[in-house]
Amino acid sequence: MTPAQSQARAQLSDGRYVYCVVDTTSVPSASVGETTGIDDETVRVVSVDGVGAVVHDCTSVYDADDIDQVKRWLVTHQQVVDDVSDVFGTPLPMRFDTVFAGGDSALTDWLADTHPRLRTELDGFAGCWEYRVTLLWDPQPFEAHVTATDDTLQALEARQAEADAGTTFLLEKQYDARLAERRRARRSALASDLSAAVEPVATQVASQDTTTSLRDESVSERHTPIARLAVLAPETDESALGSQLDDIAARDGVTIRFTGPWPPYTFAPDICTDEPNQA
Amino acid sequence: MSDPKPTRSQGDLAETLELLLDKGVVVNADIAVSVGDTELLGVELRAAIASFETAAEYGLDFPTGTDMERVTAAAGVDADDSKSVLERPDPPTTEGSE
Repeated sequence: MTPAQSQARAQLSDGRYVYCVVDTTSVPSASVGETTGIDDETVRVVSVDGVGAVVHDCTSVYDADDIDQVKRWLVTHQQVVDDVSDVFGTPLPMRFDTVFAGGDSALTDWLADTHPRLRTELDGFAGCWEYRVTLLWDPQPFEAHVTATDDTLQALEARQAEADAGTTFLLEKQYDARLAERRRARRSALASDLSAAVEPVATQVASQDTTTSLRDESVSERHTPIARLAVLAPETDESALGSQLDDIAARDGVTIRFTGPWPPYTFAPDICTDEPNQA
Repeated sequence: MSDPKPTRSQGDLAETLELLLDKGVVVNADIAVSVGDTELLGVELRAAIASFETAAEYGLDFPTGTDMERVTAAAGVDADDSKSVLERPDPPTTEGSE
């Protein structure tokens, strides 16, 4: 945070919490609908020449030690973005807790300064949404198949039956290493196949870390996430994307989580006021 | 899958939290007063939601400057319980070596 930002935060009396930026060219910015903001604040659109910021007035940033409170804020934030997306189309979604100081005048100045960049981004994302795809894999069916059919594994197993204790130990190590090698190859192949499957219908693909620390209770412990993709695709290709994923999901031990449509969070740019015309 | 349509209910909350805290437009401007704060908030949320065991399992890293007292409070663990996670000891030296 710069000194100016620190000062602004300390003096925040006329803040604007910004949910997203939308294209107001063809829809009046007053048409924000019935949506209610964080802490029941009134949501409105501040617009400059067809580019509007969806905001509510605030006097502080949103920060709390109560995690349930923060979760409620996050869910409400997303609800507002979803509601205005229904009206204005694909938005440029802001990160949670983006608050501007200086009231409507400062926000209007920012919209004017960054207008070319915002316009370019909105046009680029128009009609496209983010879909999130996670490939979860239960290796048990694959291991059962491999142990029954892999020549190397079968040979090692046969030798173990006739070996002394010391040799058996070494053979077991070789057996485990061979099985791990087959498992790794299978994981790698599944991840590659997933990327290949989404590629034809994706405008952009971003590989995501599979070791998310957020707990996901919707899958069994045997299922390991081996690939996570953020996919930007036209809304019209949503079914085609789903069909592509069907082919992967049909494989033994594979479960696909397919969520969306989301605003293009993963593909959203950083916007720097110092470089307003950098599109 | 029997239905190739994406869903917004399964795993929705976890995904929402990740997207809103880690992704989205970041505004670098003097009038944006909360730049940088959500990163910390995200860490706290992760600590609380994932549980410390999961955090340790996945090797969750805390950025420099993180208020660890607040993280432990948010996660609902006391400092002693979290010590093994927060203050990762150096790996044990090999027996017999200096």
